[in-house]
Amino acid sequence: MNTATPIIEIEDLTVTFGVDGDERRAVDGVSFSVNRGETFGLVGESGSGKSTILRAITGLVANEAKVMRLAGADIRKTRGKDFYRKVQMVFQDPYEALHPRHTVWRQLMEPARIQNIQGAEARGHAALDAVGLSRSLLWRYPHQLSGGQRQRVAIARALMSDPEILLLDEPTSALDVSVQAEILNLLCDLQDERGLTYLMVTHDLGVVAHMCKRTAVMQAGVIVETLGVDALVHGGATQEYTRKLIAASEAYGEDPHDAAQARA
Amino acid sequence: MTDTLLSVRDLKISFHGASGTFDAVRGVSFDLGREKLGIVGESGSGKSMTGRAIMRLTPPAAMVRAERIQLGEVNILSASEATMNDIRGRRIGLIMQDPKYSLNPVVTVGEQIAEAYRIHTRSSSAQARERAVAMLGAVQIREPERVYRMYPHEMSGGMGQRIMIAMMLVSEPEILIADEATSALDVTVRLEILNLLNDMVQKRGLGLIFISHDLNLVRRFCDRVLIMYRGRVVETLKASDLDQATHPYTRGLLDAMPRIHTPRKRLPVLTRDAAW
Repeated sequence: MNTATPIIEIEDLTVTFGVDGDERRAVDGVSFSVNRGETFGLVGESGSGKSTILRAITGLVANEAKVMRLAGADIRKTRGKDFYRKVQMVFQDPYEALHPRHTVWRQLMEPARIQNIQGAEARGHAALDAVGLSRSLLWRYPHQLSGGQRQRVAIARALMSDPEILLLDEPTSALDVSVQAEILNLLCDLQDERGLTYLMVTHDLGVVAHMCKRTAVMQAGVIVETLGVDALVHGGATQEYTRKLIAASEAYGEDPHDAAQARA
Repeated sequence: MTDTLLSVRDLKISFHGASGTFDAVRGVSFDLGREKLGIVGESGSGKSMTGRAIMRLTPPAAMVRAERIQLGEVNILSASEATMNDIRGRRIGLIMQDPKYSLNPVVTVGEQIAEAYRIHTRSSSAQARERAVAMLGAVQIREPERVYRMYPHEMSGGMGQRIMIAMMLVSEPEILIADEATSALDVTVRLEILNLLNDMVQKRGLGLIFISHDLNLVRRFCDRVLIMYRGRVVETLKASDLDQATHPYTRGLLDAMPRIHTPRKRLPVLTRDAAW
């Protein structure tokens, strides 16, 4: 793993909603870069613009940027077919992200057909194996699956095009903690096996501490600070807002004894 | 626990379907005093169904049986529908997770709160309006007068949830059932809402049933916790003693959580025992 090469480079990204006179900058001049094979977190409250960044990267919302390079390609104006193969997204609520009237198998085959992927069937089976889904579930519909199984299908679908980058938008916040543990372990395994790069949006500092090396803290469309997760959890935050966020998570978060012991 | 507001004994809820009988709740008993009682469990553990049964709001297909569901002098199991209508909202409030589906999209949020107040207190509309605005202030909404005139689609998730809470608290119920009421909120907003609920318990003697999947939150916020798994209470603990939990399911849940301060390479995954 060559940690020196950034695979995601973003400079001065701005997303504006609304028309003249009633404009709101959802993302206001955000810059960051993520190295290959790294997991980079975007943390912040709802409305801080963290999910909008993912949507801007995929082209789901109009945006302006000085630099926006993913996997070496400039994607400010156009995104080639290659882009959609290399970059895939996993959403928060797998029930909304999956087609309600497609079977598991069809969910996987659809992107393969659109992307013109060769050997789709073999890949489909491989993707299911990779996420630990049994073949017996192939012909089920999303409503016949549990929440964890649905999220596995969504991840399997993202793996169909053999991507380099996964954009993860709160991938476990709709799941039970026991299932969350399984999905987070799965994401770690996939990263080890395939050298994937994750850009992960979450509001859960526990998940950030577990998954990420570095994270950006966002408020009102701006990155307040970018820091290593070690620094984040060990009181190295320099900004008032970051400290407030940590304090609020800890107020009803994990046991204070654990925290005190870890600090000592 | 000084006095018991609500007493539930051997509650069972089952569904009869084409593929046989499914037991969603299999014998749950507890007493609620003027306290914060947490009910924790995964989805499908029957925690929400238990909350619904107390208000007799289970789906028509559900078969509810119990030795007793007693709210003060009222036997919930045999009360008339008219009595239940009087209880719902006035004596027992219910806050659900998603305000999007709980608010009327074509009525301003202020009017919805005022309506809840008027139905339960027979006050004038001017009084109700005044109470509704005051309540919006109490749930930390800035500019309550302006928000009063707004529609649900103009709210963020956190604001919508605070509207729901205001609507439930405006008629000053004895018992509040909060079903994942703070799960969708940001940590900072959540803190404010929890402080508000805490105040209601401390100052007004509200009995709070706090249904949640978040063990950390329940451990720090509640007084007592029931841990539910597949329709049964597997363990009842003082919230502060959650670390001393002995049941393997509770231990498994605690272990599976990512920790901020003591990182681990892999998260332990819960192994389930059919005997639980």
